[in-house]
Amino acid sequence: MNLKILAYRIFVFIIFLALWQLLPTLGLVSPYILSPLSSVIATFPHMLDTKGIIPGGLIPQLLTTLIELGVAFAFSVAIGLIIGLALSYFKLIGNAYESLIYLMYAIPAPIYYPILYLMLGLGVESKIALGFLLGVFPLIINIISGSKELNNFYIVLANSMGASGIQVFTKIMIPALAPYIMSGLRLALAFSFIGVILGEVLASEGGLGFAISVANYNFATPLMYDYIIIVILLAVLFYGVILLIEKKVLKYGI
Amino acid sequence: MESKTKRSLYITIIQIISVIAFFLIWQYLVETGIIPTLFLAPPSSVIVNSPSILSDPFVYERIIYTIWVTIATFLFTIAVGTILGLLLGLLTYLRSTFEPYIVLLYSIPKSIFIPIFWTIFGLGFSYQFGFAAFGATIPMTLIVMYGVKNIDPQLVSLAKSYGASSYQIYYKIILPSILPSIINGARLSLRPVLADIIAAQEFVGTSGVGYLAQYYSTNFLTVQLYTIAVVVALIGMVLYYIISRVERRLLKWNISVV
Repeated sequence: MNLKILAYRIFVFIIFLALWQLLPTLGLVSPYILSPLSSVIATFPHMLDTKGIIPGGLIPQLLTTLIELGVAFAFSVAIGLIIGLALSYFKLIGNAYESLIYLMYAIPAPIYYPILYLMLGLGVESKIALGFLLGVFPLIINIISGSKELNNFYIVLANSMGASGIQVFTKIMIPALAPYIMSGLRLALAFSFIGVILGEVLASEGGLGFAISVANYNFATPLMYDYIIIVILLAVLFYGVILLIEKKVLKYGI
Repeated sequence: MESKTKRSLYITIIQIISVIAFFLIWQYLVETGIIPTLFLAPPSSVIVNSPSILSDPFVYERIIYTIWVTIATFLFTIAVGTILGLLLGLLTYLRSTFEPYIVLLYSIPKSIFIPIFWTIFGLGFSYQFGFAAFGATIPMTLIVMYGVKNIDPQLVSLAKSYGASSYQIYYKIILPSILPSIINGARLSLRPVLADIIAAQEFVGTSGVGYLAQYYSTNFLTVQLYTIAVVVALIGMVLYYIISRVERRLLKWNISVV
């Protein structure tokens, strides 16, 4: 059963690769839209050219993206945790702000970007800000929705036993919210990445998204696909690492 | 009971005060010159100037166009996502074959595909529609698929043992039990639809509010930029409000899921 499904999956993947090669070479799709797999693979070494279309080649772009993502994620986590935990601890304010946060979350994030690059310029700062704005909301919303599931009985019990506010916070709320915080962190990472790449694709001076845009404007389609593959591999890597952490470290999680 | 109404009164007061405070701080930051007016337009000038900005056909035609594209893409996404989700949910082999690929597609930043979409579709409606539909159909499909997967098999076997036809099973059991996931998926895919359309408009082309925002920003027309951002924020909030009202309406009978 399992082997059969694995075989199906591999089969689908092979079909996908075959179509990628055959559609452009048979002339069914213009090579400017979809360059054949063979030429995409053949241009992989060109990514390291420091004097190609992309200034500096792959390495500086990758580093730019990773730095932007790291800072954006760190800000999302720090501020998201503070706001999320504060809103779950102070119930009244939490209830009041919950709907406001949902309303703010309904604002489509790309509209922030022209404002951000007007304020912060085309460098790394505007991408960090966009990544932060996208990453912080899922974390806050996850923590708040977790605190709603939290059994109030425990808090009442602890209070009647004379627990201090700090004790309630560290001994009851944090452990009870840990699974929600963890899934919030996963979303924050994914959404920060989405924000950083979006900013780079739209307008920037460096990064993987910038490389995709530049390759596209120069009709260097195989090179564009190379950078797209790099971004996909990064996303897969992040996803895999988080799954691993959840499995190995947080055995008690959901 | 009385403490409950008192509590909700407090909540409303806190909300109103916070919203007013937000705009007052915004105004204060500009008035005192902490943030120059080049970067941040004061809310007062946004309000004063918005009638003249928004009455320009250059602007309001693009706003209406964006709303129209959003609704068209949204309806398309719901229809296609529901069909795909039903297919994948009902056919176990298809689901287990494609599930990792769909999850993978869901977890990568969609914006890397914008260049491919505009080289295929050009600069107009079909490019924005295609890109947003592509991005939003994936979560919609996943949610409906998991909805079908989680249908209580006992209900189906009970209906079978009472002699229900497969047509009856579809219409009386499967469709009503995935309705919550369809509506939930619709609520969750509204955001990506609007966001992807605006991102596509910002990337290239001269249509829609995304282009307007990009144009105002690169020409340092700060008041216009903030006006259009407020309009887009309001569009997002109103659409979200409508869909959550619809959700509450349709799911009244099924409290356990809400």
